[in-house]
Parts: sequence; C-alpha cells; structure tokens
Amino acid sequence: MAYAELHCLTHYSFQRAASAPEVLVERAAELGYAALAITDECSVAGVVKAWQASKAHKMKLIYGSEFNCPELGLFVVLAKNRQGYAQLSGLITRCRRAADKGSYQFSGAMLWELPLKDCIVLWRPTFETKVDLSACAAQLKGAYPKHHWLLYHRQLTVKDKQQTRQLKVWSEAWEWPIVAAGGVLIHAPEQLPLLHVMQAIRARCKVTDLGAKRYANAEVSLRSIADLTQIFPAAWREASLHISAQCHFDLGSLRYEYPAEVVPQGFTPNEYLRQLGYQGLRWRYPQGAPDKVRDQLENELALVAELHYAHFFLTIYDLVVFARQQGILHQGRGSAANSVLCYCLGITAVNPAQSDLLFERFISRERNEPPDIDVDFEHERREEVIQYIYQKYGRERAALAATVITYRVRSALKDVGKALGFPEARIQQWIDRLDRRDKEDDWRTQLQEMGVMNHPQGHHLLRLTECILRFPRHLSQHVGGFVIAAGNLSDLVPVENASMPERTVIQWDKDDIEALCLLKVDVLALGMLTAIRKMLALLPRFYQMNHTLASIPQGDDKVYRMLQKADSVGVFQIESRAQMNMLPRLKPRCFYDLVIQIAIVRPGPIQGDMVHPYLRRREGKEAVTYPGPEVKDVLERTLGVPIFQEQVIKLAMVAAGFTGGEADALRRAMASWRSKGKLLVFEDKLIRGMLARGYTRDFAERLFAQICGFGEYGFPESHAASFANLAYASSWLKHHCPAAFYVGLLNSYPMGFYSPSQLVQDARQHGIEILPICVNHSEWDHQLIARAGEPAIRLGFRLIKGLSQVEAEALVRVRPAQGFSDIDALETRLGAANLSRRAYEHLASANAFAALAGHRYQTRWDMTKLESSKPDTNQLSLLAVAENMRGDYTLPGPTELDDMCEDYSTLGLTLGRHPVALLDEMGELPVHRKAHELKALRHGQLVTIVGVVTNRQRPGTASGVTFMTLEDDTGTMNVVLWQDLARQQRREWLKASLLSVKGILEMEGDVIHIVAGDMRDLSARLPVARIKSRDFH
Amino acid sequence: MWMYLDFPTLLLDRMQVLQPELKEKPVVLFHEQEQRVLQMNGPAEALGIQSGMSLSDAWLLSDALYTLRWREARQRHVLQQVATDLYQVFAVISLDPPAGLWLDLTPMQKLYPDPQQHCVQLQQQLSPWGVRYHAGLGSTPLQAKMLAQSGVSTVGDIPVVYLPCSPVLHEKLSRMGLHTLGALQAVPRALAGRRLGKELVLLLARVQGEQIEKLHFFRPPEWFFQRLELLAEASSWQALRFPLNRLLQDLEYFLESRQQETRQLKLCFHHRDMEPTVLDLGFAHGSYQAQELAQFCQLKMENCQLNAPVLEISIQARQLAPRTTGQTDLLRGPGRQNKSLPRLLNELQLRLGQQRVWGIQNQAEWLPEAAWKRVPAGQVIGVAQTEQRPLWLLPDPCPIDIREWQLLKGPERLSTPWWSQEVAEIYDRDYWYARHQKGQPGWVFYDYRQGCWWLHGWFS
Repeated sequence: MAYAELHCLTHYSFQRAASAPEVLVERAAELGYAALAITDECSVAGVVKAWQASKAHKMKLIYGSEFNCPELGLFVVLAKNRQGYAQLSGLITRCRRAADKGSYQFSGAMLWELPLKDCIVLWRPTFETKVDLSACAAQLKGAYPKHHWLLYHRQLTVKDKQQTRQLKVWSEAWEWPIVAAGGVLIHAPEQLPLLHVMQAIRARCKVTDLGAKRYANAEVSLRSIADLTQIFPAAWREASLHISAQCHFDLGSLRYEYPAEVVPQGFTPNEYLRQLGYQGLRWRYPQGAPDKVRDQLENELALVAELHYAHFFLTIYDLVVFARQQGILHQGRGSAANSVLCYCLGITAVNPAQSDLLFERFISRERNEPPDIDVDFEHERREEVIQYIYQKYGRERAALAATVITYRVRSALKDVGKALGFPEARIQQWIDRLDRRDKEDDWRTQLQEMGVMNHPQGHHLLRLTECILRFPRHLSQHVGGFVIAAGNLSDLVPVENASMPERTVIQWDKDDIEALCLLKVDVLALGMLTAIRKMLALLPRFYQMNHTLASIPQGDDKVYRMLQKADSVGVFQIESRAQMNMLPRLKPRCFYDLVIQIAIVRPGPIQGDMVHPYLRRREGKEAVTYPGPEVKDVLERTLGVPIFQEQVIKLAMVAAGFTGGEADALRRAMASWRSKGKLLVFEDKLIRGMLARGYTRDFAERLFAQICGFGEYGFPESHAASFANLAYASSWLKHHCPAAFYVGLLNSYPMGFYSPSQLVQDARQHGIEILPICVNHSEWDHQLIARAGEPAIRLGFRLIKGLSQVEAEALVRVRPAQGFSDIDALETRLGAANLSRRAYEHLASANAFAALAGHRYQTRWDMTKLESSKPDTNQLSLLAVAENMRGDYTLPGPTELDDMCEDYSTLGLTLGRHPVALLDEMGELPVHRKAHELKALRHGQLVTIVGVVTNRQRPGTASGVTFMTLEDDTGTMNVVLWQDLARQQRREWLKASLLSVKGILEMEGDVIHIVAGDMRDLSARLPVARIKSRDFH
Repeated sequence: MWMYLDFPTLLLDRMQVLQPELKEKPVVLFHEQEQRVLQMNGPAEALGIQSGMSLSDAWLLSDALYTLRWREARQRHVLQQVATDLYQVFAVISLDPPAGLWLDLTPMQKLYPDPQQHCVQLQQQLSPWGVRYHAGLGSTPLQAKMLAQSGVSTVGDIPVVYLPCSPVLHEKLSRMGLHTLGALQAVPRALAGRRLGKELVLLLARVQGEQIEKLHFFRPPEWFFQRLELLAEASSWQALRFPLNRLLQDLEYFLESRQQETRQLKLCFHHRDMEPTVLDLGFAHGSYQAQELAQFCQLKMENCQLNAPVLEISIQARQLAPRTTGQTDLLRGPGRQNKSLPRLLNELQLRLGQQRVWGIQNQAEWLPEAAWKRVPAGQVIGVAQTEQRPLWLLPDPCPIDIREWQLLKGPERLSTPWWSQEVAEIYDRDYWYARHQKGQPGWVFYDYRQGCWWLHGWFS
C-alpha cells in the first residue's frame, strides 16, 4: 500500500489553499506517503520552504505547477530532472510575464507547441466544455509520449460516479492512463474552516454566501493511505508511484552561476580581483599601506578564492564603478563590506585602519554563509543604478527578489471579519481601537476586552485570525535585492511582473535565496548620501576645501565635543530624540563610540536591560568583569555588555557550544520572526550549554533575554560601522561647514527626522542667516550664498507647496541677470515663458514678490483674475489683465500673525518671529520659561514651559514613558510624560499643537527634561492649521 | 425677515431624549463611509472630540467611547418631525436638510413685531424635542443661515468660510486676507467679479437679497386620514358597514389619484365616555380597491367584539406606497398572473394570523436541512441547485437499521457547518442512495459523530 501525492497546492497559491508548504510536507511524512509534489498554481513560490522541510522529514519532494484553462481543464506539470525544472520555470515565466502582477496567461497550446521534454503532464479535463477535447488529447499525447496521464480526484461529491464513468471513457478512447491524486488544498480536515474563509476572501463575500461553491467536505486534505485505498482502484494509486519514480530533481542541486562579463578576457576572477585589490591599496594609501592592512588584504583574498566568491565582489565592484563614474555617492555595509578588500575596491569608505576591532566576521568559513554586502546609493539617483543593471545584464538575467506580503493582525482581522459577516464599520472600529502603542502580541486580549466575544462569531474571528496570521497574501518586490544570473534567470526560478512598470521579480524571497545559497546584490536607497553629496559639492567654492566621503578628516575632537552636547539635529542616525538623550551620557570620543551609540539606542537592548550597564561601566560606576576568557574576547570592546548581533551569535558559539550551523539558525530566527516562538526553541539549548561550561544561570538567562530583545531590532555591528561613518561625516560637515550642511539636507528633503522648519530653526540658532524666497534671487534649490563674507542660505522655490519644478525653472531661465526691475517687467517676461496663473498665485502666497510689489495679499489680488475656460489663453490674457487692472483696489495688509499663518501654510515654515514669541507679545500665553533659560535653573524645580509640539514619540520602554518635544523661539525642550498622565490627558498629549506644560525640571549633566505634571492645550490661540508634528516615528 | 435654525447634533439629541442613558457616556455619531465623527454629546466633547475628527483619532482619546452610525434618513425624518411641529406656529417653513431649516417671519411681523417674541415662541415649541439649535436672524435666507452657523452677531463679522462656495474660492479669499464677509463686501462688486468670478458675485447677491433664493416650502407629509360622524349611534358591525364603505371609497379615490396602495389600515370607532375601539389591519399585499379593503375589514371585525355604541369612525392609512404591478406567481411561474393569489394570501393571513402563513425558498447549501428557508408568503421559490435530492425530505432524519437497506450509489460526504457552532468542529455525513428491502428508494446517511445510520428522505 503506497501512494505518492502528485497534486498539492500550498498557501502560496494565494487565497486558494490554506496550509503552509512545510506543514504539508510534515503531514505527508506522518501519513507515510512515498512522495509529495508541490504544485502551486503557476508558481514555485513555496518550494524552498517545502524543500527545507523535506530534508528534515526525509520526504521525497516532486516539483511541479498547476495551470488552469477554462475550456480544457486543469493541467499539472511535473519536472523529471534539472532540465525539466528549467523548462517548467520557463513556462511559468512566460505565463506570468504575459499578464499583470498576480495573474497569468495560459493556453493548452503552450504545452504542445514548445513541449517541456523533461516534464510529465497530468490532465484533468473539464467535464463541462463545448470544445473538442480529443484534439487536445492527441496533441499532448504526441508531445509527451509516455508522459501523459489523466488526473482523477475523488472528493466524495455527488458527481463522483458520473465523472469516473466519463474519465474511463476518455481513457479508453484516447489511450491515456489514469492516475489518482488528491487535489490537496489543506493538510488536515480541521483546516477546512480556514479554507472556507480563504474562498470567501477570494470571492469577496461571506462564508455563508458561498453557497454551493463552498467545499462540501474536507476531502481536499491529505488523506490517510487507508482512506485512499478505499476510494481509488489499486492501479490508479500505483500509477502515482510509477510517476514519482521518474521524478528525481532535487532543489538543492541548483547551482548558481555568476555572470561572466565582470571578468575581462585573459583573467581568472581571482586574478582580476587581486589586481583590483592591490590597485585600490595604492589608491587608498598613496604613502604605502601599513603592513597590517596589507596582510589583511592578502588573507581576505585567500578566503574569497577558497570560497569562490570573487565574482560576487566583482559584480558589486562593477556597480560601484558605474556609480562613481556617474558621480552617485554610495556606501556599502554588512559584514563583508567592512573589509580591506571592500575599502580598496571603493565599495565602502570605512577605513579599516580606524579600528581593527571590527573585522572578525568578514566571511565565515565555518558557517558557509554567503557574503553580506548591501550598497546604499543616493535616494534620488538609485534608479539609475537599477536601470544600469537591467541594461547590462538584460531582463532575462536580472530581477529583484520577492518580498512575501503576509497577513498581519489588522489585515487578517479585516479579511476574516468580512468573510464571517461582520459589518465592515464594526471591524474597522475594533482595528482602530487596537492600541497602537502596544505590541501586536496582545491583540487577542484587547479584542476580548472590546466585547468581540459577545458576537456569535466572535470566537471564530479570534481563532481564524490567529490561523491566518503570517499567511502570504501576495508577492511584492524586495526593496533592492537583485539576483543576477549567468544565463537565463528563469532556468533557476520563474520571473514575474511587479506592480511597478518595468520591474520584474523572481518568485522567491530573501530567505529562500539564502537557503539555496544564491547570491543577491542589494541596491538600496539612502537619503543621507544624497545630502552628503550635495554638501560636499559646495565645499570647494565656499570653504575652499575638497573632500570625498573617504577623505573627511577623522578623529576631530571638535566634532565629538559638538555631539557630546547633543547638537545633532540633521546628523545621520543620531538625531532622534532618544539618540540625543543618549549623546551627553555616552559622550562619544572616537569612531567606535559612534558605532556603539548607533546600536545602543534600540528598543532591543533596552528591553534586554543591558544599556545601562554599559553606561555605568563606561562611567566607571560599575566594574568591568567577564564571566570567562572566551566571553572577554567577544565582549571586551563593549565593556562586557553585548550590544551587537554578532556578539550574541559569537557568544552562543563560544559560551554555549553552538555549532556554526546552529548559530546561523539562531541568527535567522532572530532576524525573521517577530514573535518569540522560534527563539524559544533555542532557550533550553543555550542555557544548558552555558551552565555546562560553568557560566551562572543568571548570566545565561540575561543573555537569552538579550537575544529575544534583539529579535526585532537587533543591530549588527557591521551595519552600525557603516552608518557611523556617515554619522561622523555629517557631523563633521555640520561642525565645519554648517551652511553647506543645512543646504544639503534641505535640498534632499524629504528625508531624515526633522522638517525643513525645524532644520531652519536649528540653522538660525547656529547663527546662519536665512534669506526668504525671492523672485529675483531664489532658484529651485536652496542656495548657499556669501553675504558680507559669511555663508548664508537663500531659500529656494522647492519649499513652495504646489509650485512645480518645471515652472520654477522656467522662471529662472527668463530672469535677467540683474533680476526683474519691477512687476511689469516680470510679467512681460513670465508671460512669454508661459508661466501658469496658479504658479503666480503660489509665488505671491509665498511672498516671493515682496521685493517688487506690495504685501502678499495685494500681490495676489493684482495677479488673480477669472479662470478662463480655455486653458491656452491663460497666459496671453494675463498680460492684458495685468496692465489695465493693477491697483484697482487696495487691500489692507496682513498682520504679523496673518503673515505667520501664510508662511506656514505655503512654505511649512516662517522666517518671521516664532509663534511663541508672537503670542507672548500679544499677551496670549501664561507666564512661562524659555528653552534657553532652563540651563540656569535648579534640578527638581517646578517650571512652566510653552511651545509648539514638534515631535511625539511612542514609548519604547516597558515603563510606558512618552517623549514630546516642544519648540519656542529660543530652542527645543524635552518633555517626559508618564503613561498615567498620558492616559488622563490624552487630548493634550495627542492633539495639541501648542502646549503649555507644568512640571519638574530634571537635570542629569547636560540632559534636561521636564517631567510633565499638567498640560494645557493652547492650540486655539494659534490660528495655524499646518504646523505639523512628527508623531510616533 | 428670515430666521435660520441650525441643528448641529440633531439626531444624537433626539436619540438622547428617547434613550436618556446615552447622556451619561461619551457618544458620537459617525459617518460610515468616511469613518469620521459627525455629532458628539457633551461628555464626548469634554474629551476633546470634535466634529470632523476621524474615528480612529476619537478612539485614541477615549476607550470608553460609544459610537453609533449616523443615518441620514433618520435625521431627515427628525427634521421633518420638528418642522411639522413648528408648522403649528410658523406658516412658512423651508427645510435645509440634513441639519437646518428656515422660518419666514415676514408674514408674522404684524402679529409679533419684535423678533424676540419669535424666539420665546420657538423655545417653547422646541423644548420638548430636547435638540440643540443655533438661531440666526437675517434679512435674507443666506444671511440668516450663515449667522446661525457661525454664531457671530453681525453680517460683517461672518467668516467667509461659511459662504457656501467652492474650496478653491475659499482658498483665494483667505489668501487675499479677505477673512470676513465685511472685508469682502467692502470690495466694489464689479472688481470682485472681475477678479474672483461670477460664483462670488451671485453669492453676494444672495447674501444681500438681490437674488431671490429658491426655497421649497414645507408641507406636512401626506397620508390619508378621514373622520366621519355618524348620524345615529350604531351598536353593531352590521350598522357600520355602510358608513365605513363610504370612507373606504374616499380612500380608494385618494389612492387612485396618487397611484398608490396601502398595506395598513387603522380603524377607530369612537364611543361616548370611553376609549375608542381600534382595529389595526395589515396586508401581505398592497391594496387600493374599496371593495377588497371592505372585505378585509369585514373579516377583522367579525373576530372582534363591539362593546359600546359608536358615534364616529375614522380611518387612517399611513404606509402608502407606489402601486406595484404584476408579481411573480408562486405556483404557476412568472408571467401568468393569478389575481386571486395575493388575495388568497391576504385572507389566509387575516384568518390565521401573519405568523402562521409562510412561503419557502431554495438556498444554495449542501446540507439538506439548510438547503431551504422560510420566507414571507408570496415570494419566488427559486431553482434548486443540486441534483439527486429526494423529492420528499423528512422533517427530521429517523434512525434506521442499515441491515434492511442496500447501498446503491455514494457516498456523498457532507460536512456540517462550523460557523453555526460554538466550537468549530466538523462532522461528516456520508449520504447514500439506497433501497429498502421493501423496494422503496431512500436517502440514508451515516453520521460519523453519532456512529449510526439515518433515513433523511424518500425518492419517488
């Protein structure tokens, strides 16, 4: 009694099946199946997970896919061998590429016109068709001699008998043998409710409205051999074994081949890499490289050669060379990026001589994991790099990795709720009420408290939502991970269309790629690189310096002193509120301190309760001790406190005896799961391992807590180092070339943590003059100008809401060198340049005409005229109107408050007086202290402050503290809010744009907080709707 | 002179009068599509909830929030009720649904020269309704409306955001610093027209009354009500037949002229010194013919005791609906109209009571007991979806001895519906076409939960 299941769908046939591939494999193994074929509909998206499970359960796996054709029926195509797999993958690619994202185009003729010679075709003809099926039968028989079978599902429905009879008739008439299969959609009968929900989600209706379309029973599950024996004739079951015996492809045998063109003729990849490496060494170290660096390079080259990774480095090198030629700033990060080799190849600008502590994990020989290099490019220009890849390798050979979009609590509740017949508004309310500040784990309790269980379907909602969580919904594109093949990529994995036009994705995600040891190149976008390039470009003219990212002078004490004062607005990574609070405590003095600073302010380490020990030890308040010499090796550079992901992994190996493979599995579990489930598997092993090696239970348990904390947010040292490099570079620029720094940031917006308004405030507090937008002086971008020998910033048109770049540039083009002499001259020129009236109005609102005309109200009046029904006459008539209508009425001018409101609504910032200063003068505010006065006050003193709310931050710690930032005309102030007060005064906390806070002043060194005791919402006194706070980032 | 009444929380106020317990907790009415707060009561306002706020923001402010869907139709109905009530005092009313109405005070100026008197009057009239309102008094309808909505006291102070115009125009006005109607009116009209367009000129003309508003004047809703004083006291149903028929004839005329029909009739028989006898009649099908209605009344009256002599009769028909044309026939299929069937159903319902006359309808469900449902009598039965079902389905399956049966065709496995149970457990039944040893073909099933066999129906 044996059986091989040849037709089984996983939940990667989105909304059609309801079990995960690994669960299906496990169940098939339990039931004693001889083999299991994974045959998702026009897809192999689930096979890697199935393959991993099949290795664990020693289950034979067959690779195939299902295709549907309404006239002919259903086809299952199974790959016999590697060639068959490539043919199948090619067919899927062809069907998918011909259709929009998420669908495919298939016709029966595809199967016989280009026969898949190494595949087997199983056909379940449709029982209701007007097409002559015998023609199709003859074609397929000719194309697949001995490899064609009729597929028989028996699912115990009312039609069984009739269909069996029909199938037998066909079998005899066409001479096609019959094979039995399950048409499996779920792994076990108890999954039927979920399958019904999936059906309803797909049909966009309620489960109860599915009617006769709903599966009548659970016979679409994996059934026991005994059951199958009862319902299928022996010959049909045995046929499944016969077919299974012909399929012997193993996914593990896929071999990735590197693109050949990155190596010039006459070189081996290793020779070429070596040559480039040494060339780079001379370029990076013109005075000669230190011996240590040279040795390190030699070691790295040897390791790369041994593990055959030369092509990988050369592929990335090729991209980086392209970027350099185009002047696109870039930086690599990741374990392999922090190497002498990558420094010499120009992939990264982190000088390895800066700190030799970093590079213990270049490429891990023992773990045989592929090298990890992400390359960040300027966010405005990354697309050029992507297009270069497509151009160089072609669409057949390069595609993005997929990202599997899965069900999260909110999406699951929404879909399941609808399927169960809950009113949409009701579900939406529950979702809205789920506390965003709490973690997702808690959703069940929260919903129960809202009374979900009072609904007759309430328990089904909770149970089925739980089941559907993390189920895939569709494939999307990875942010920037490219897979590039030597030949056709579709020989390796099917390629399909992404929703973005001109983008293609493969059917596997990054975990799949990693599991199969395929290599991907990460091409990512980073706003700060754009900003830094723009800053660097300004240096020669205004500061008489010339720098690249790599040549910025390191170890500048003045820069570190600035950071110690938390003067880091706009600086990469260490600009957030939480980072700013840490800076005066950690007091970074060197590059490696910055690396720690970046990694230490994460929810992970706080949750793991290990940040403060580091600070205490650093300040000498706690002795630096190590539980053992191996641990000392790993933790010495962070004073015995684990801070980086790598340290945790390494600790698991040296202190708990994990093998390389196990440590790698731990790393994966840490990285890929939000829930702690997967990590708990390691708890016992880790703690036992450490106890056995003589560590205390306390230390072992703390380490495990640390790992759980890392799970979600853990930061690898290799990435922190690259980020620290950018943080240092931007700090250096902020300190030495502040005007260029702000111009670069403002011209790269949107990016970073602060709004242009906050950046401009910060710039002015650093003594930089900001000049308003002016029709005679501004350009699209903000400009750095010299004014009385000092650098100043002239705001650009890009700040004006609603004004397009094209029109702003048209204006600049027709503007005379000396500027427009008066408004008439301006209108003549601009009329000729076809500037639309909307553009005029936007410019007038921004007060850009102030130098030429009266106040903005009057200018707008003078420039406004009736909307014309014919758009093409707009510009022509403007002239005429302007001539005979100007000055026909004099409007009263705006008050200062009016001006402020106008500024905020058109530009999002004001150069006039700060709202708090203005309201103060009008006597609208209670007695309060200003930001700059706080330093002079006593710790513990009761103060009242007033400010515009510029930032609200969700609590990151268990104690439930929320931070708010208030801004007045003299600076910013940090308010700490305990959860109780936040609850009591929700309105003030969540909604106020102008707030007065009464509370206790707390000073710890340079860190000043106000612990709020009472808040009052003063927003009504500030008639500006558009002062935006950045909330909960 | 016009008065505008703005009811910002009309529906919620009304609900609070009917359900006073709502006043204790924060309650909001929200717009279902937009998921925004439309109306909130005092406690909700105290939490900082404002009209227009998104519902999710409102939830953030309080977990204890009680949210209800705003229903426009209901609010319109309340507005109409309020207007009907005011109609007793104010002759000229115009509705501005969903939240306001105008009162034309001009005709009443002689009666009450001081507008303040209107306000007193109004307050008296509206106080039982328990609705919040803002009144605005203006020389034109638009002025009155904007004054009521903005709450300012003079026309010149009205913020321009209350002008009913496009957002584009609002934006333009504010960008010129023209924040109030007064500032706008200071601009010569011709210039304003040239700069800002006809829309604005027309609006200003409406504000000033140079352009007459086209308002639809309110009339109380129409339904049929007729009261008839009997010439002589009548002490038997028999004696009431004739006057009743006259009233029904009036009703037929009323319905005929409107092409309407009624499904409900209320007969009131007024006695001396005691509460009237009231008969409520409801019909499964709309009716308009006096003769038919008379028969129904007759049937109803026969079942009822007349306890005292009758002085007056009144009839009231409220649920009027447009007359329906041919209904699909229950038994003979569509197209062939049998006029007597609706009548038959009406009569059956009158005799047996509405709760005892039902129709059945097919449902596309696998499980036989779920494959049909009870519907109000007279609806189409629909087409059965599944073949091979017995013509005679037993009301409840009965246990059988399987040894008396020969299983012929099957099994058809059906799972029980999980969604109607507490715990989502699924049980299977295997149905077979089987023959009893006496020869009848039956539909039997094996129940896996109970582990035994049942007969569920007979094939013909």
